[in-house]
Amino acid sequence: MTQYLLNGLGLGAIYAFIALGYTMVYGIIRLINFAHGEFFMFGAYLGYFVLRDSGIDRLDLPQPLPIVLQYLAAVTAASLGAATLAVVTERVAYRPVRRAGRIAALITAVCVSLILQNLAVKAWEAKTRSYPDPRLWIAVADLGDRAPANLWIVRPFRTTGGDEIEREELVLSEGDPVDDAARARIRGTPDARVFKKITPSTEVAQGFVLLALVLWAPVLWFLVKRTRTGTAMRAVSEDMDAARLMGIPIDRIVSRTFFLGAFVAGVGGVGYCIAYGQVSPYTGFLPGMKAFIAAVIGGIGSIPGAIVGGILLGVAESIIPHLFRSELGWRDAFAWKDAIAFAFLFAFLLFRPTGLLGRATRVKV
Amino acid sequence: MYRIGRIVAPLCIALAASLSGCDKPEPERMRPEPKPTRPEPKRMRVGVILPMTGLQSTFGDESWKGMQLAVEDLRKQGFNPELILRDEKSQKTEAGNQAKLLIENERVHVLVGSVASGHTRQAAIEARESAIPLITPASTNDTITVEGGPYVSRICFKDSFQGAVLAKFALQRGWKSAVVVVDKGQPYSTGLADSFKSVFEKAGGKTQFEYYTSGETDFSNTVQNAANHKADAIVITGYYAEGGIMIRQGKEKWAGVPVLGGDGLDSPELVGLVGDTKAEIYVVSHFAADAPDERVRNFAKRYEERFGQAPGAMAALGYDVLLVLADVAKRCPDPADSKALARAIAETKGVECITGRIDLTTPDRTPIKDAVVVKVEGGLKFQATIPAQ
Amino acid sequence: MSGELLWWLNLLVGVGIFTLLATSLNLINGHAGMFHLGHHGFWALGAYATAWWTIRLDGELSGPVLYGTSLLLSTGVAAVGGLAVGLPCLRLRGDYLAIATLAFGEVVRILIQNSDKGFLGGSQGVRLPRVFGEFEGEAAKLEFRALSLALVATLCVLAIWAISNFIRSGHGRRLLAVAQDETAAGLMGIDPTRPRVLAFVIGAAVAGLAGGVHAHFEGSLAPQEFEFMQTVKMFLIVVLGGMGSLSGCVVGAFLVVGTERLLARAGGAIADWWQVIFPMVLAIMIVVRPQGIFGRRELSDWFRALRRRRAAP
Repeated sequence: MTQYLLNGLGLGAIYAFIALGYTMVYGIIRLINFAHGEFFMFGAYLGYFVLRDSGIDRLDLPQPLPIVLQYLAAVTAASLGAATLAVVTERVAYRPVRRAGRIAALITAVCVSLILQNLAVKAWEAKTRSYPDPRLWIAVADLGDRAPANLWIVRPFRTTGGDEIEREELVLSEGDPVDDAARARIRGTPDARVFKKITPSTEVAQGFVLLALVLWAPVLWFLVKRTRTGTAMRAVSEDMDAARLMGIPIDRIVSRTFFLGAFVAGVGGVGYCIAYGQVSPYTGFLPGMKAFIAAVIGGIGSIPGAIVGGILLGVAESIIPHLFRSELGWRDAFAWKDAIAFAFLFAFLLFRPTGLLGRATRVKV
Repeated sequence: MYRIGRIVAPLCIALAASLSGCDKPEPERMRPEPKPTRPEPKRMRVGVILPMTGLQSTFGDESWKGMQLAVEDLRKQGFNPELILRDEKSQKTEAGNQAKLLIENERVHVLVGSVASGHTRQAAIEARESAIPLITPASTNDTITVEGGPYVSRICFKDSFQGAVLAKFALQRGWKSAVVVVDKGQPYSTGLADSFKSVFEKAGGKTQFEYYTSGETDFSNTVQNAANHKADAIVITGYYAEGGIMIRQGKEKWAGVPVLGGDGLDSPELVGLVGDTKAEIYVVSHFAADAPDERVRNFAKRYEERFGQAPGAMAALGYDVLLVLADVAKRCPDPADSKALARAIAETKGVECITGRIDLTTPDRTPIKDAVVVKVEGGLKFQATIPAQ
Repeated sequence: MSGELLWWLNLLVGVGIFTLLATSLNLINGHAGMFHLGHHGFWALGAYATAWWTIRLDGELSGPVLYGTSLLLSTGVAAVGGLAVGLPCLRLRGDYLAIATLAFGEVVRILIQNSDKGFLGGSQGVRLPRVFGEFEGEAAKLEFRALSLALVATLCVLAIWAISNFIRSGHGRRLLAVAQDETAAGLMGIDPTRPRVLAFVIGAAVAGLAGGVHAHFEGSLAPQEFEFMQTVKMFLIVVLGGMGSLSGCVVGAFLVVGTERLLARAGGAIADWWQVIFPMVLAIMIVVRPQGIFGRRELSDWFRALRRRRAAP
């Protein structure tokens, strides 16, 4: 039972990260940014490329520093990249429709989401890619008599087609004696080193995301409550026209909101992919929708609401099917977990549309 | 009067609009060959439907590479088919649509494809309704050739055999209980699981089923559920994209428990997906590049030189389909006669292929061949051959 | 040559089905002003109801009777769905209604996907027996498609006639009033509930009908095809044609489905990029020309204007 609770918390933290972006954007311009899941996905891909190609892990620094640096670089690239994409999207697609009415804005948001998804498919193929495992490089001299784990080398390869590719080869299995033949093979490679793969377990990755959430929450609170930009954001979300009259530069504030929301989502993106080990152009779709539901549950427009909603949804998704299974003997319960998320959505929309922590808005005639 | 006008006029306008101009660039074809010096039998037009993009893209990509290699080899022997490739994008409905296009517009004589049984089924419906033969290189679900009727055949083994292989392997290793992790959405997965269960339980083993749906990424609950059963082995009957994730996520929970998979797991991608796991992973396959067989090794070497990677089962099966078609072409000079072509295919006997000897004279046009078991160890390494019974 | 004809018949039937879908979506979104993103859910309900009925009663009822009753069932089931969605959603506005209906569409798909194999086929999809006899060979296919086209065309005419009558009726006018300004309409004594629910029910029913035809025509269904993208496609048709114009839907359906099919067949660069281009077109249209081709006008208005111009010296 605790296991499922922990799974739920980890998943919930990821939903919370994404939900923050939804809620901030909705709060300020009353737009459900369907494309938010794609910002998340874009961040995840940037992280992927950094992890795969940057070579930071090969730097000659004491371990585990290269790995830590590589992850930091990945997260930074992901969040900055996602944030930039968000700002560009807002400028190009959402600003022109801001005055065009709800239906137009929503349709535009849906279209942007589809465009981004399919652009990703064109750029990176529709398949799932496995997230690269961090490589812990070990010099030949540092190897003992026996291989401490499965050890790999990297060998460049040229096909008759003329492509230059890099291939991983298993050179020693765990426990194999490190003999001269193996050493010679290792020295024959360009790096003259071996590496072992470190696969972060899902729990560890989820734990990190949870930790990141706990660290980020006060930072966000500070940004929103105590800085000028934050105050301006709150002002715009309360009454855009009044804020404009007070001299607040609406466009700039909206941009910054998008930036912040996507920045956080980018972090979530890398966390998600490390936890689940893969990325694809469709990675953003389902978590995006669930995070959106989480934002609604928590009260769309409310930042603490997004966090609460995210965690609640993640936990519910894990625990409820588990309970159905163990108490009611319902074997397939887990296949229905998406339906549970939607059921929550309906319930809240019908009975408490402002969510748990949202404010009720009054419509004046 | 207005109401009719409202319908007819837009119909005409729009008809004109959609008729006006779309020039049709050529779909992908093989490069044209030099002119023949003597008259040859009518050229066979083969419509190939494969998942070139999407979740099963590595299967499609490998199959196509195998086919290309085969066409190059067979051309030297005088068999010169025209291959028209269409992408089914790893989507069931698209497989059906592409089959329609190939049959109706490209006028192919025979269809080859696809990989996933659910997708092949759609293409098979079209083939049946148009009375055009279809050969699938890799779809293993039993019902496909039965439902499909006399026009549908395959060159790989079927799931009832594969399930038995999995069960035999498990029993040989002394495993008495198994958790079967099944993808509810794929007929391949459920069929294989059922066939494993029936053979395994008949021999005294115990099975428990855990379900998931493909398209998910978080299998931590499935992994947990499977681990809870504390079985001797875990059998994954789905495809590699999800199976790999599960094994990776099960690094701790499934520690020490061996994992068995069907040919859906049989992809070089699996090695990368499973990460740094210490689990013993065995996969049933049609082919292993390092098997102790001269033909296989030769093929693997040539494939690697041509494409820069070791061939997987899909490549070998793709190659074999063309070998079979070459044999069929010898016995059926006019491929446009689809009834004769279908009959010739169903009479195929004793064609020696990379994946074994292919004989389609069985009642459900499915060959009885050996299977191999490979182990995931930094790559897919040959483990054992399980003979056909 | 018959291959070409087969392809065209296929295209026209597709256009017909999407015309039905677009006009019904138009009724709910354009005329009633309710933001409905789950239309594919009604379509799925109709299709699967037909499939279920056809499979259960294949052999017991004759071909045409089976076909007809299955369509009636699909319309009915979808209409009930429309009621189920319309009633609770009365309290929701704008964005919230959009999310709720989107969720509905997805829930239908999930329910079908997780259903028991024996009941609705589950994820693997379901295959319908051909009610007019299984066919083999081109001639039979041709006959079937031509028949289907005749049927779909008739249904389109009927549906458009029914919807335009509804709009002209008292209910329809009340609906338009409520859509334009709910408070003002309320002050005039118009209860928004009934016309809104009616719009949902009628829209759902027509979509269900389209589902039934689709099920029989394709011969097999898979829950994956009833995804949100289909509703976006319907939106493109409606927006292109003009939200609020029925003729617009027909023209839009021809343009969108026609282009899609032609590209799929031709292959090439544009076809590859279609999934990117089509939402882009929709997004641009919404900004640049939100009224689409026809706006709120019908083709008959254009004829009338022509006649008037000719009459005046």
